[in-house]
Amino acid sequence: MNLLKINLFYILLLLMSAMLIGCNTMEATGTENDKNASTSYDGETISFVVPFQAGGGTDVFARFMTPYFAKHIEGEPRVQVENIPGGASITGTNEYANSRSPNGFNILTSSASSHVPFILEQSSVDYDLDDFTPLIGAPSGGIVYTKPELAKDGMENLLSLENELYYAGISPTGLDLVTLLSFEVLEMDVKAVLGYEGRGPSRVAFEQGESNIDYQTTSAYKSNVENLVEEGNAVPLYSLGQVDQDGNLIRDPQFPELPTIEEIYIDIYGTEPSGEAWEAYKQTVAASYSLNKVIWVHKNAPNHSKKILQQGMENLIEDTSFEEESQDILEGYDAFVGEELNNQIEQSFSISPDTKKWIIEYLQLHYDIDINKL
Amino acid sequence: MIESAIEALMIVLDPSRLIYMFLGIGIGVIVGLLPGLSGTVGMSLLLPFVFGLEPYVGMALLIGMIAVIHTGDTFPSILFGIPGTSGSQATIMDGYPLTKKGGASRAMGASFFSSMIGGVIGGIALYLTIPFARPLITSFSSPELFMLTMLGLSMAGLLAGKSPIKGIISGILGLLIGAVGSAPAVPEYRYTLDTLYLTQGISLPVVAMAIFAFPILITMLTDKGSVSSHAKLQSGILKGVMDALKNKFLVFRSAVIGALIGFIPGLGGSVVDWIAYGAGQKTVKNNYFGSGDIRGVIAPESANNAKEGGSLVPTLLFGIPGSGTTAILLGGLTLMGLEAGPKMLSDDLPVTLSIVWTLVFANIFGALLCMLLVRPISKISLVPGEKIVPFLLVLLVVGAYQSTMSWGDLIVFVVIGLLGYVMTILDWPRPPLLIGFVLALPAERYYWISIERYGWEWLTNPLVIALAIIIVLLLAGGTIMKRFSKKFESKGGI
Repeated sequence: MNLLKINLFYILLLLMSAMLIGCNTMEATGTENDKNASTSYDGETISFVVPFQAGGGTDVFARFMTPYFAKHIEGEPRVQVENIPGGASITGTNEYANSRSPNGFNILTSSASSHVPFILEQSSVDYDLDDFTPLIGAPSGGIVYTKPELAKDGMENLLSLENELYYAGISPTGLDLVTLLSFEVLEMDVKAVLGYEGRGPSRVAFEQGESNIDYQTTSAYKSNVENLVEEGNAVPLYSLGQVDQDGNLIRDPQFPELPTIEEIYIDIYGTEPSGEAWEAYKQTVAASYSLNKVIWVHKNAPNHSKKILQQGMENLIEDTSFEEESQDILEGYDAFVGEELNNQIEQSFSISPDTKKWIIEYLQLHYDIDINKL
Repeated sequence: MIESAIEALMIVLDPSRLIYMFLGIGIGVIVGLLPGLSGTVGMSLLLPFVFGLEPYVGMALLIGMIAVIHTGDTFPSILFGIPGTSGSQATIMDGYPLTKKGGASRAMGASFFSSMIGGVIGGIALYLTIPFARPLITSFSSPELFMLTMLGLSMAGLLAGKSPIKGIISGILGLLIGAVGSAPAVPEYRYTLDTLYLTQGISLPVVAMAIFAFPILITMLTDKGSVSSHAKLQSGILKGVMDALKNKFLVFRSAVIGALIGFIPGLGGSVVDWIAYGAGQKTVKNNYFGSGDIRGVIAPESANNAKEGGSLVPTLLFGIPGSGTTAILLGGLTLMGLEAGPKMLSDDLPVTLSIVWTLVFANIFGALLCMLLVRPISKISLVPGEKIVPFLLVLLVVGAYQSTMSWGDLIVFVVIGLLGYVMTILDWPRPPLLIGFVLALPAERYYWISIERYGWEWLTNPLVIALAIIIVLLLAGGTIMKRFSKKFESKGGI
């Protein structure tokens, strides 16, 4: 009876299905690139693998960068973000390393959660960052803060407390590792309660008193903790710092007034910190914060393509509009490119066997983690 | 704040921004309507376009979409018994039986109207809680959140139907499926079969689709014939609206439940429809929930739209996303140069207020748009089953694959789908399984944190004790009422 309308409905469904399939253009353009592996980016599409769900910090970073890539890479290619979430960034990074063609049309962004498992050689890691050529890298920072009543008698008093400090964290293998190691270096007695859903919930735990020592990364600190400090409900203790090209821990350029744990250690114990815990701390700061995010291309991509991409990055950071617009996304830090980036990578990802062994044992001993099972 | 609210209204009503809101509404209705696609997919689709937009414009687009997803997702729930998104599962329970009786239009009329009112109440709730949000949110610590997950789980008992034992086993099965993947608090992987795919756990949209939609598809094929056994569709949108108006207190109650549950961070709004449904079942007199009671449609539909308003409070003010959708919204905020946090109440207050207005308008226009679509779309229920199944199957498979873009999704879809089919044949209730699945992770997380942090001390928190009493009352009340009705039935039988 209503044959016409029913047919219309079928057509509608078909169209919708077609639309959905159309959403999946990535794969198609990827294979096309494989065929004509030309060295010019003119009118081509670069597929940008982001190993996270859309909307996360790394995804936002990647999406922010894409228009600048398109503008500054010779030939003005289109850059399309492709999210491959799963396994805390390991799934997507593995896929980039093993299934994407090294033709210079596939790039990747990594973050601290792909760096630390790599330097510790977790068994699920099926990529080697040494097989990638870095294009641009960006730092981040972290600030540790506590309750005013605990801080009012100074750092010395804080270090003497026993069974009173509670820290709310997510997991000991993520960014929390750096903060936990800072407690270890300072020999602070902190009970770490792990399992929170994210840094937002752990900050709320601090506000309601469930924890009393916490850290936030730079932008979250500025937008959500600075007002607590002004209201007198939080006091910053130290920044996790940055590791410079020579491997020294330096103050965070965003928080020049806050000391590093090295300064605090010298102040209290009278000597410079040393030993494996200290080495491990500096190593994880370098791999998690000083190089918080890095964008890469396969090392065996055509040399010409790599040159164009690298040149594009150097043009990009000269761009004044990038400098202005990137304040929020890069949290006010300067991005690394060229030689500087290579030095920083060398500094961050080459770990001494002793330090690695110490971190693995530390995780095993304190948090019952077998790195070979992750 | 009223002055700024009026200012924000002017901003929202600017024609150049209104267009974006309507665009958002259109996309939201389509995404909701297609089974398998949820808010997360809609957000990921829109995110690339948000970059660099003025915040008001971008927010009109994103919030316009979020607001109406739970309006549009009612179509497949009522017409086929397939949840349009995981937020409208409970609508199936009575909506689908109504369709079978030829009352699809009436059910949809009632549901869209309830969605509209619920959504508006959610928007108002967002506006009203803004000044109190901070003290309210910080009053929930881990022990209280744990007890709230227990309260949610005890709802599984209410939804068990005739056999409580089957309900409990089904709920436990859900907890088990929810335990797959990395444990929330201990560094451990469970039942991952050494695959990287399973380390992230099984995704909710896949489970929700599989457990409800898969069995329906099989039944459609085996039964032949169209969904609606009545050849003629009764036109009943207005009748449905009247039904909703008659039950205005139920609409209001459910909306409040929805907004409250959305508001509590970490609980996950995915069970809100079931909780509203269970609460409705408990409080509505002379009900026949489960066999085509219009009130069984009204309760969850009002709640799931109201939830969005509630869940924006922790998202905007604390940067704590309550769902996958709001998690991506946070990314969208950053791309537009905003940062979730207390600044949303001071410097960025106009943006926050514009979100409230958008929520209200989008809910109204979204519901009206859906009502216009009822007539053409409900004709689908007259199409013979074997002709429609292939299309639905394609949509569902694409939807399932969309959730993490991995082949594992398809395998899980089929395996859980078969489990769902077996459960339908054996007449085991499936809602408790879903509740167990959704609450498995938060329940474990907050239990672990409570013990780690407070030992057993937390058991004496006044709020914990109060929640425990409510749970006991709920469970005991259920059995007492069931026993009572059994007596009644057996007497009637004689």
